[in-house]
Amino acid sequence: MSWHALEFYFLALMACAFALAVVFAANVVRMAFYLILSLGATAGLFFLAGADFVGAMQLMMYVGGTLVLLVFGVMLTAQGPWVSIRTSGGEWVLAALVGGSLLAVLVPTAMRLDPAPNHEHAAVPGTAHKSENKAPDAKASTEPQTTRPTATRIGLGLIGAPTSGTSGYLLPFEAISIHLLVVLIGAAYLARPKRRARPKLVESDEA
Amino acid sequence: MESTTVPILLFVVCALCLAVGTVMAGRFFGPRRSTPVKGMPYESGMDPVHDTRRRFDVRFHLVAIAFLVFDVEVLFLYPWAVASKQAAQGDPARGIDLAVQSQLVSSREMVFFGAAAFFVLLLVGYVYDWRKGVFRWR
Amino acid sequence: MLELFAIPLVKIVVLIGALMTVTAYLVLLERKMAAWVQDRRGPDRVGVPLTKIRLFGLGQPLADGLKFLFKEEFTPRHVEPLLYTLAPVVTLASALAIYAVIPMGDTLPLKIGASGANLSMVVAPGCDVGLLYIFALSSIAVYGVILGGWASNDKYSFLGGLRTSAQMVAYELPLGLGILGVVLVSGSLDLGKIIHQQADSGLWFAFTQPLGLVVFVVAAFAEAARLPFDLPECEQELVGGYHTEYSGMRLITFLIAEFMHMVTVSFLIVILFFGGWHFWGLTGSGPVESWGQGILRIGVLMAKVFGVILFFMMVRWSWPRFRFDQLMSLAWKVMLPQGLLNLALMAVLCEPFIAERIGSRHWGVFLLISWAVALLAWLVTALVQPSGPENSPQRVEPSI
Repeated sequence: MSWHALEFYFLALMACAFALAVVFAANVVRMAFYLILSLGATAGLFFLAGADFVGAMQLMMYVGGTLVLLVFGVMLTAQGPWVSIRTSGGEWVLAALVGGSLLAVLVPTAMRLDPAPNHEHAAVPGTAHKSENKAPDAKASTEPQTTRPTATRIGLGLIGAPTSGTSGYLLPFEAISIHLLVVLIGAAYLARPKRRARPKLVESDEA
Repeated sequence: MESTTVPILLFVVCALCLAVGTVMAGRFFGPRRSTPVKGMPYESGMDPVHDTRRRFDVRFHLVAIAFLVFDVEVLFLYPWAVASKQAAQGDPARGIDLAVQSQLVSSREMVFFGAAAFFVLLLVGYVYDWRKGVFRWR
Repeated sequence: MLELFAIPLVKIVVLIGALMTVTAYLVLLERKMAAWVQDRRGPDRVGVPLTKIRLFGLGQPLADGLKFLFKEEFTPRHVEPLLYTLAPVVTLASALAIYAVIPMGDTLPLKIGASGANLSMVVAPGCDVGLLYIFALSSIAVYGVILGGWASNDKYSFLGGLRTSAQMVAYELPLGLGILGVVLVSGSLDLGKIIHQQADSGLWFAFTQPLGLVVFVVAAFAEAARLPFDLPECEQELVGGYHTEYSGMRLITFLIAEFMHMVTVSFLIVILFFGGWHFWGLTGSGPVESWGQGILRIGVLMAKVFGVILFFMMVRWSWPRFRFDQLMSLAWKVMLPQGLLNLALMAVLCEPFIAERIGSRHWGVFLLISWAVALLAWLVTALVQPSGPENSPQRVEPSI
């Protein structure tokens, strides 16, 4: 077994183990902590597959951004001394349904991947960037390609360089900005002034 | 590729070991005398009232939301920033220029205005939020 | 095997050892500077143990370390034990691991292994996304603080943790925008390549992007929680902030990590904006050819970083602390627009078909335009004060 495979199994095991820990933990903040470790291991898998940029993005967006939001959200609504969640039977069924359907989408995708991406593809800009976005399986990750910086390839994809099968990702790129705009408008809704009149800021001297 | 992943992983492992070692080192030295007062939360000498876990202001949540949106924006601009650099004279073309040369993209102008549109849309959201008082800490 | 594991491991051990020692002595330096600014002597007693040799207090860091080691380490009964212990570990490990991609110089002409390349002064040389990696780890550091504050289950800690996370999260944006301008001009996320770019042109990014520099430095102060922005632990309000409930080695772990953040951002400021190891007429710009040149480059980089650290320390004793609402509006209403402006300006000035028309291909025109815009932006900010009026105390006529 090569070092690469060993690293892969280590990180994959860590990701799965902590994902299970998230499911079975009852304390929300602990859950969030396990989620960090799981997502961090996933980022490590991306690094291992040669998709440095996606790995770094994974860390920044999920660990740095989304999880802070999540923890804030949890603390925002927290009432008792220890924030804990007890799931009921119906929720288990629903969660299994949603998770299972996602798995049903992901597994065939991973199986359809070119097992050993050849380097000729990587020589043309924008052709190979998408293959790294998928879940890396053991075989693909043993033959990583670093002929050019991945960030450049992704950049070319985003700004419209058509790849072998598609016509580039310029439209999704602009759609993302509209999506973000909607989120900003939602934030403005949250920040709207409260209905009741605000109390005076400075009390008079006599008070 | 081995040359970057392995050292980084090694470094992370070493850093973790050092941090765990530092935290654990305190266990083996030093006295252990627990008193009821030491177990109390520190409240400047007062007896604590209420529990710590109470609801806090939604403003913190707003900061996190606004951060996430702009963070995603900045992250999407990174690949563009890396690709848009023009190679020095004499060097082979790279990034967008290479894409233009091999006729993957019609022109640099198109790419520039594509990125500009992305930027301007976010700017609109920023100004709207400012006007609506998202960034006001009251 | 030698190249894969042995060389990085040696580098890592040397680097971490050096960092810990230097951090300890920088703390002493900071105390000495505090003493100098406040016209007192500072720590000057501890020297060689068991003798009367004082050595200007150089033994102080060692004594402090030992003191922390022999302090009682108790876990208060109201904490969440697992996360309470893990929080300092997360914080220190993420603060340290950043150094995997930070160059400590250029290369040394020491040929090891089959490749025959110079020995690089980076632990992980040629990491294509070095800057993003640093960002990612610094966002994990935020998490250590939240965990520490939350797990302590104490009001001061909780408020401190909350404040810190909001502050770090808010200032990560200006930090990223300041870097984005540099990335746009240099076309790389690899710190070594960014230095080489500046060395080749001889124009440091501090000169070409004054707006980006100021945004980045202010954000760096906030990220490192240094004095004008040290709200996470402002003693007068929060006792110790998120580490109020910590003691002994766990406390010093937090303190080291915090100090190390300052060293890290000093490295980043020097590497991104002040040319890294480059100095005109001294270090050259191409690949390293001789031992002298390699060592000189290390020396120049370290001297610059030391200068920035001194600047950090001077600022600490010269500025009062911001209020939290001021801090937030500075981030969202001053630094964010300025960062966006810097990014737009760099994009326009570097875009060939625009540069051709306005002549910004020539470095003189480039400098002129970027400084003019920067001065204008600062002037407008000073006049309009977007973060000012609504935060100043409002006068309400007393109603009798």
